[in-house]
Amino acid sequence: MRVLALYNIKGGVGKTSSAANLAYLAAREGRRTLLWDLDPQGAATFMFRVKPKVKGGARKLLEGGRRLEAVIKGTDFEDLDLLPADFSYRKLDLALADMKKPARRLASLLQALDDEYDEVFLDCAPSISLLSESVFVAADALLVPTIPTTLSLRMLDRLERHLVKRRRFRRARILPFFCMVDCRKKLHREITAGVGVQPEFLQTSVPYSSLVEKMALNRAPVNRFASWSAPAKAYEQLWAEIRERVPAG
Amino acid sequence: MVQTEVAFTVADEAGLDRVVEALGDRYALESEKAVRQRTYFDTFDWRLWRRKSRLWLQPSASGPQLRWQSEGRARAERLDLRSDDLQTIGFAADLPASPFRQKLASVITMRRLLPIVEVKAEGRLLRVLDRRRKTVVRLVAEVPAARAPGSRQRRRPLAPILIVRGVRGYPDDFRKLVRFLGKELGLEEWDADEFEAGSALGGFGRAGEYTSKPNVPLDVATPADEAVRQVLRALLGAIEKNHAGTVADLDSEFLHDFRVAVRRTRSALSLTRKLWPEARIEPLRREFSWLGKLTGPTRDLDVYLLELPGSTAKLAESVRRDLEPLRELLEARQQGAQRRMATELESARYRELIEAWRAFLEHPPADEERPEAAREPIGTVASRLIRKAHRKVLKRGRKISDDSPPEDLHRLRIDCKKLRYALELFRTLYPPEEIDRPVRALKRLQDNLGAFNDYGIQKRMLVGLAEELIDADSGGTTAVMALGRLVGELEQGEARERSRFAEAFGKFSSAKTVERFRVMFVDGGSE
Ligand SMILES: Nc1ncnc2c1ncn2[C@@H]1O[C@H](COP(=O)(O)OP(=O)(O)OP(=O)(O)O)[C@@H](O)[C@H]1O
Ligand SMILES: [Mg+2]
Repeated sequence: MRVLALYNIKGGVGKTSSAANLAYLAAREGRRTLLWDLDPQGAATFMFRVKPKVKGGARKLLEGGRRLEAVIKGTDFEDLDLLPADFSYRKLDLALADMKKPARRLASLLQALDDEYDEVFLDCAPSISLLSESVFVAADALLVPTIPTTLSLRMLDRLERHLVKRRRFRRARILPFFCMVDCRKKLHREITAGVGVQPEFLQTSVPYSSLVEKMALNRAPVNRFASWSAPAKAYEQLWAEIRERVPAG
Repeated sequence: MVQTEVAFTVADEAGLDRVVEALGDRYALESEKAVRQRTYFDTFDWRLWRRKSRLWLQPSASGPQLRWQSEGRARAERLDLRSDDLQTIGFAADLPASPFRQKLASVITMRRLLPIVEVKAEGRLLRVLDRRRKTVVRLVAEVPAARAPGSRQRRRPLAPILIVRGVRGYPDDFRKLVRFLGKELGLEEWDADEFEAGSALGGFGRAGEYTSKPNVPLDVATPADEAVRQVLRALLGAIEKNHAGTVADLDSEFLHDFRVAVRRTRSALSLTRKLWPEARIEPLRREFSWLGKLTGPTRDLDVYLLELPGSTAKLAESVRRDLEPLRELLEARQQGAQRRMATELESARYRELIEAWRAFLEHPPADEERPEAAREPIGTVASRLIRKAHRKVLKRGRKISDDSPPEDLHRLRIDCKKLRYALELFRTLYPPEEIDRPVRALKRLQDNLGAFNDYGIQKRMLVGLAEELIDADSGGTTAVMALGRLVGELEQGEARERSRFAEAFGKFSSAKTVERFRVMFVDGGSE
């Protein structure tokens, strides 16, 4: 099982859109895929038409066992399942803090699903918290959607330093990629050209496109309703690259 | 586990349309066209089918995939392939290294995967939506059609099918829909499967039809010659079924099974010599002996190539690399032997033997030609023959000491084989649970003698090859030195087996085992 987290401290950078499209592409290949919506806002849950409700709430879920399996829902797409968000996820951090080894919690919960899924995507809320620490431990790679601005790059730098400092996070590789790239903007062109060659960056950028915004309306990934489009092609290429770079766990 | 898939049969395409219509009246449905294509594989002896598993090749968005659905698993395992060329799927070893391959290899071992049937199903994927327009059940309504893999024949339609698949987390919707289809629309659950339905198209018979161990139930009261003829007819069937695969060298098991059937035929004939008019049987025995000799060299090389990985496993990696010229030489030899054998197996002489043999089996000798023994019931004759063969093994074995030469063990091995053939030939005359024990006792002794013999043969063959490698110019010496190591391993094995003989024979000739034989094969039949 390969665990990929869509993560960025910053909000609104394309985490959810990317998680949905990449998970859809994995499932389309016949990989058994789970998308876990860890954001109490539940954008991914909404997109897949699932009720944002987890029986027993965050606390119960963290206890693990069969509870995790029981709340998973199939989506409109074959081989793609969703672990929905719940409003109580806001209190996930408090619940985690009460537990032993909170940072390892997510990893051990996912371990129980090892037989059932080939790919797990974690759609994270924008923050640094106990939960995100738990994500850093569980994930084989952090996929970091990054809007090409100087500020974003600086934040990326900070994230990297944060992870390097802590030994147990080192397993997760940081793989940033550019998202919402607008070729008409000079700054975007310059920044993507400048760091695009850095080895840790994924080479594929996702262009800015109103089709991505339509995902929430259509309740489907771009790769589903506009597979011919530029962002869909980009996500396909991105997925191929990720598959190549991150060994299946 | 909760059942999450149910399939229903529908009589014809129009019926399927009506069902879909009825569903549309009751549920909110989303429909799209769907095409499914699969090429199923199995071995000649249906190893996958026997384990209730299915292996198939299918196209996917990321390229061709091999999928393997085994019993009790919720989902098929998959292996990504680079090419969907049917020719590239053969032996397990040819597939990309993976746990999938490893597991498959443990099931099919040396057998080749043969394309059995190609199924293409055109139809619709239907999604049942709830109030939020969320998919809660999936349906596949399709009309599958089958043809021989890789052929251009018209596909033969199979019965239309409606598959209902539960969506995780919506068990109630699944249950309700299944009830609607079964109770209200009165559809019958599907109980066949497309692999079995189309299995004959591959040209290897129906699924499960071939088995390397045909079972011919005999009746103790049948006249002896007629009973033996029944067994011989089954063996002729095995010879003929394996002929094409042997000639084409699809895998080494065709020749193996071919030879087993020939050997059983020969031993049955020599064992039951007194049941036939000599003039008719003698020429046939001579020809079968020719067939046995003809196929020997290729089989020996096959065995050697099959065992090479095992026998070199203990050697260091570098030594194994040095043995590469040996493997190449063996492979070249095998190909040469195989070609020569194939030519003979397609000759007029072979065809005439088979025709004459069939004629003999189908037209029994006239009553006045039949020897006295042929009219006796098979029950009596069989027990007599087994007793005789058993006595012979005991007599020869008891004379063997730790100092006896290998030739003595070789002769004992042959006698054991004859006894074994007799037991196997007449197996069905005795209660299965009772005949198993003497057979097992004998088998343990045979394993010891066989292993001892194999080590000797391999050793002599290697020494012969060493001489050839010395004459060869490139890489000769390193290979010969590596070969020396291998010979050393074989000698150790040989000595080990020799030292175990006394115990193996001791068990077989123990009072308990002897008594068991005596009781089982009493004078006067099996009653
Ligand atoms: N490539 C793109 N082109 C245009 N708009 C995009 C693109 N990717 C995402 N968006 C839009 O940007 C907004 C934020 O995207 P998204 O929800 O994927 O980001 P996020 O990082 O998950 O946000 P949050 O931090 O709020 O969870 C959404 O309205 C989305 O439709
Ligand atoms: Mg989001």
